[in-house]
Amino acid sequence: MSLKSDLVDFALAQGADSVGIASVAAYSDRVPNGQRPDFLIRGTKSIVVVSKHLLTGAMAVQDVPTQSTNSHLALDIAEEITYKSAEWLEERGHLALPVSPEYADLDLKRSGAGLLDLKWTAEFAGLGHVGLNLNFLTPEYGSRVYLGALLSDVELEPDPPLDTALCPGLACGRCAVLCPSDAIPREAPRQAHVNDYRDLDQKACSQSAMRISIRSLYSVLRKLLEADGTLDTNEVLDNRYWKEFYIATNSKRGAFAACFECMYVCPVGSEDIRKIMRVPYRRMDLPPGRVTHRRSDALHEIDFLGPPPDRDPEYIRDREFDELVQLSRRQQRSTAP
Amino acid sequence: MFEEHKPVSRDDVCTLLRSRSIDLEGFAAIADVEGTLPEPQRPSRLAEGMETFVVFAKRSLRGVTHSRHLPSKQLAGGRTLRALDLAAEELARWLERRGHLALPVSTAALDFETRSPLGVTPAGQGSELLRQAAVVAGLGTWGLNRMILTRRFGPRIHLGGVMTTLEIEADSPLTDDLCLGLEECGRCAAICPEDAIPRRARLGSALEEARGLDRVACARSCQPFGFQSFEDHLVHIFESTEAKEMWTRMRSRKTGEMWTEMAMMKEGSLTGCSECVQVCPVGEDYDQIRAGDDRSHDLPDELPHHIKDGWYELENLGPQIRRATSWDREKRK
Repeated sequence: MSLKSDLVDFALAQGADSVGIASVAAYSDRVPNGQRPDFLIRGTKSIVVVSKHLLTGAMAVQDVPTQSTNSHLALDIAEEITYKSAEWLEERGHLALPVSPEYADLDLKRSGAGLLDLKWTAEFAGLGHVGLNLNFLTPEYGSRVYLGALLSDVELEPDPPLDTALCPGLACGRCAVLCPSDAIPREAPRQAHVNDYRDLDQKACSQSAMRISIRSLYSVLRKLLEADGTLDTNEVLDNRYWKEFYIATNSKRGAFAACFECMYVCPVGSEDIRKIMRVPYRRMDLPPGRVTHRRSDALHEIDFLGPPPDRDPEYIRDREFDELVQLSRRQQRSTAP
Repeated sequence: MFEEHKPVSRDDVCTLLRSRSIDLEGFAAIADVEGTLPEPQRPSRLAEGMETFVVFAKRSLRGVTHSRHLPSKQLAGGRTLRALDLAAEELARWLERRGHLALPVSTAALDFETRSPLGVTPAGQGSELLRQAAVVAGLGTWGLNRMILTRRFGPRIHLGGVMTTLEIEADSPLTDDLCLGLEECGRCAAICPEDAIPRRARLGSALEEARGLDRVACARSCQPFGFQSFEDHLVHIFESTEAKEMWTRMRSRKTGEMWTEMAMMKEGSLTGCSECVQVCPVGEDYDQIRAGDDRSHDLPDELPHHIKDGWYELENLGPQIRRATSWDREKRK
């Protein structure tokens, strides 16, 4: 047994679904920005990446806060596995640094950037493929996975990236037609490979996926500050938004992962997608035949549908104070001399 | 409610803790800890009738000490405190299943009256109660900066503990200080970004005389977005005289960092700076730590100092590798 296979066995025993190794040097050469290992620590040689899937039962329920809770638990498990694996490596005389999978560094990018951009690290380490919407897909669980990683000074044999794409791109396009924020590409050059046009409007995505976060707080505060008339303090305070903001800050529910539409419909996943699609309302998220493809000589386009209408209010919480602000403006106009 | 008392030995407790990746453990009689602390920090403030303080430590990963990225260190520190809380919870339940009352003692259990965030400085190593219990239980000795230094890991540990009604034979405190003191070492004082550790002492004075910490200054770095910083930021926002100015202050990077800290860092809000921890030469792990690319540049071997009128005074050099951290940004302003 080699150190690598022992480490992989240990991480799997701790609950990882899959484990891959990337070379720090080879990976760093491919990173176009500052999200390189030496931003965190110098002198490491290997990146160990682990994946952990969302519970299929959580994907099968309709309640988004429950899914949100499960997603944070899955991420926490992935992070815990990297901590335990780091301890395991250090007990054997090596150095290891767990990499936070969710910390957004404001020095890397003004709006925050992940420390290693784990989806690319995981693709490089052969765990799966980064899909159309920049979600990471594994063969077993499609995009319904979370990732963790650690850096170590030990040289482990790297795993090769997969030689085929898991995500069919616009030939499928299910994530793109459903995205509440229309943040996923819906058109591409006709003959292009998904790897050439996979992308995400991160700001738009965050409006749904991080809807009770610092961005929504700024939006709400600005709205209230710029209200023309006098706002009723009790009305402002007695609002669902603040309760959800408190919960989101305290437990992360709604703060980082609060929209799973693209995950519900991703058809990749040998272990879970059939089970998910057996649930009637999950099947109706995007009924068969609803994706409309339009192909010209140059372009392949698909039409936007959005999520089922009954889920819309969940996703756009910044409307919360609009009515109150408009009421105050009307009152001010009516009392103006 | 409680099962019949079953015999529990020191070895049983140690075996359980080691199986939970605890690196060091010790036992103190509660009565011995009680008398060594001011009233608000005493064990009896938490629970009466306890007999034994089981105090234990988890080391920092060497990779974390080598890291040059402040938030990664901070997150790792928080994660370690959480692991200690989980180990304490598990030990307490294990003891109660054997018929003994047990109470986990957490560093992060603050009440803002008798146990404030300042009591967890420096580096969030442990509450004042846990540090004192660690000394009484022979885990380590007080350092110049009021951290606990251990033989194996120097100050590169975090502390957790359990108080229990079970009587277990206590360990003896270490007889000699592990800390080399200001004159012989002083590295923690020389590197402290807040100059919070004593740098001046009477020549030849005992460690106990020089030891100290400016906790408010320390907290500016080791709790960079902690409670005090949160309060200061709110005051800064609400002192604005115009809505536009208020909006600019609200929309600042600091608000974003503050929110991230609250939502994500959790216990890590107490573990933001570890400069003094990284340069302490005590510990069997230090040679390997000092050999790292970043740590080897922390401080020169000879620290600049002056001797005048019977006093020894060290220069504060600050961290050699300047990181784009919040404390630096704040200072530049």
